[in-house]
Amino acid sequence: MGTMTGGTATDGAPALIRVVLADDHQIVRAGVRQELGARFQVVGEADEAGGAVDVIETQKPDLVICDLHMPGGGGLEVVRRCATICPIVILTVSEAERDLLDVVAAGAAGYLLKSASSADLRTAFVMAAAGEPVFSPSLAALLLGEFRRMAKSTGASPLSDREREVLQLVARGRSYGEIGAELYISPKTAENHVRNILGKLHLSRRADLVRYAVQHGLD
Amino acid sequence: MAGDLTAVPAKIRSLALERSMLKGLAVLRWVSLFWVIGVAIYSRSYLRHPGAVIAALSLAGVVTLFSTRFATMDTARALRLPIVVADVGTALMLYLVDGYGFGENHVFNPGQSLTASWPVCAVASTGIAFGPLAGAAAGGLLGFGRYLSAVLNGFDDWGGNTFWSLVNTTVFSAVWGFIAGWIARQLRVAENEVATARAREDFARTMHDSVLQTLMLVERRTRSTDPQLADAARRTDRELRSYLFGGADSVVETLASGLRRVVDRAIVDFGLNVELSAVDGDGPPGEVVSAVTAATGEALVNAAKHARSHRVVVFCDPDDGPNGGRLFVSIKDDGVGFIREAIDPSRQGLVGSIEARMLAVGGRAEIVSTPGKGTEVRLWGP
Repeated sequence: MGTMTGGTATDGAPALIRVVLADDHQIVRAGVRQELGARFQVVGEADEAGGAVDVIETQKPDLVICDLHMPGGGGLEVVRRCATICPIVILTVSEAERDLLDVVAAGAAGYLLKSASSADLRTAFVMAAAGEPVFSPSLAALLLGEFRRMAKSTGASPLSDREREVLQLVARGRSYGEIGAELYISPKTAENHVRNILGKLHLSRRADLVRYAVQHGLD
Repeated sequence: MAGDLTAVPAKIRSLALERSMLKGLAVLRWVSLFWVIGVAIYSRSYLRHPGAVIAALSLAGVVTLFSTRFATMDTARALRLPIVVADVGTALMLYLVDGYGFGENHVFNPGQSLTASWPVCAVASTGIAFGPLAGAAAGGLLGFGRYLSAVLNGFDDWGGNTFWSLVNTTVFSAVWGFIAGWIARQLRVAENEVATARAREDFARTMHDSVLQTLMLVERRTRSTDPQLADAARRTDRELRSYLFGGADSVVETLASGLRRVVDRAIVDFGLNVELSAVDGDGPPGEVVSAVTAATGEALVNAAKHARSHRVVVFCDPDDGPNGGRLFVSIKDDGVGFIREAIDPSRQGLVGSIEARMLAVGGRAEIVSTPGKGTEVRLWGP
């Protein structure tokens, strides 16, 4: 994931991260483009889901920064069709919309709030382009609630105690480094726990879909 | 701004609720009218003054016709005093003609009366139009009407049974009028809340995305060049959010709305970057909500004023603990941190106050801070 195709580091500087911006507000795209800085190169823009899919398939960028609400199916449609091509980060103004869970379950690399500082956004974009899940604390809190609901309905928690611990620390605003220090594990292990948690969300959603299809006689 | 947008003014309400209630009463009134006409025909040999009965029933028919028309086509007028007075007056008249029209010993004897459900309708429509007290008064008046009916019928044997029967009619009519008025008022409140929520949802669905996006962008772009404009954009953004998502008109503050309120205040007043990260779940009782929101507000003031924080995460889980069911809130900043013994007395007070607030509701607080590594205030519910 996150192949750096945007240029070779000939002078020792890190390679440019090639980005596609998808947002139905032209002014927002302009604002994000301005804040990305020298590390990133915008290789395509789109103002609706279908256009975003086209430009992603053509450009094969390192990262897609995508709005949640857009014409043509929004961020969810883009994630469904392009999550295997490159990491997609959802950038949104709303903290805790349940639609976000669907997007993350469909394979988004995470979501970030537009109110985050420019420096935080840039750091998160670099992480996402390198294939790391970028999680805002509010997304982690949404996931904690979601897994708790699953545990109540099935009688067994899908998460291990350690995964639950890691997820709660993310929801409390800790970085992977801080989580590692607190739980005596490496930051990479903390990050892997988050990746597993996301995997379990994908699986549970897929199981839900299969169950739904069986119950409703769909092929 | 939020306050201006939340109420649906009474003048532009559709009166659909009142219309459906009055329509129901109109049906009952028609059934009563036909029933009473049947009673008059069936009991014609017992009538002392058939002319008075025919006149009264004709008048009741006219009132029924008009009240039905107003209920369905001009509900606002059906709720005005003249129509309501005509309604109650007709019920009273039917009581009187019941005593006057029939031969002696009719009142208080088993058998059909000329009032049927008319008093029930009149008392209910008074309650719907003018509230529970007016409904109760109309009920009391019709109880008195039954007394006059007995007097006109020549009845004067006020023994235990008849006296208590009269009291029963009076009290139950008054209670029914009160309840009808009270239910109508509660339904109106509920209808208003639903209409407000629907208006908010419509607005949120169609407008909020682009408005919030623009405000956010203005705030970001002007943060360093025009702090006043950035501040105004931030304030408007928070007001809009509190209207759209925060239950701005809610009388009872929930944990989520309370935390959102203190978080918004910290964002607006101190320009602090605060993220609220809340797990879904049922909130604790009101006193715990007050203590937790106040303690969180103080922790945020501390983070902004003393800790020189850039970013704070407020985490809230109403169902924490090994077996769930315990409220946990954490306020984590990335500020300079402190050693408790070394801080000045004013901050000691603030820290002490957070702990005291939680202890007062049976919970507890813990403040973990390391110089250079920020501070985390942890709150547990009882």
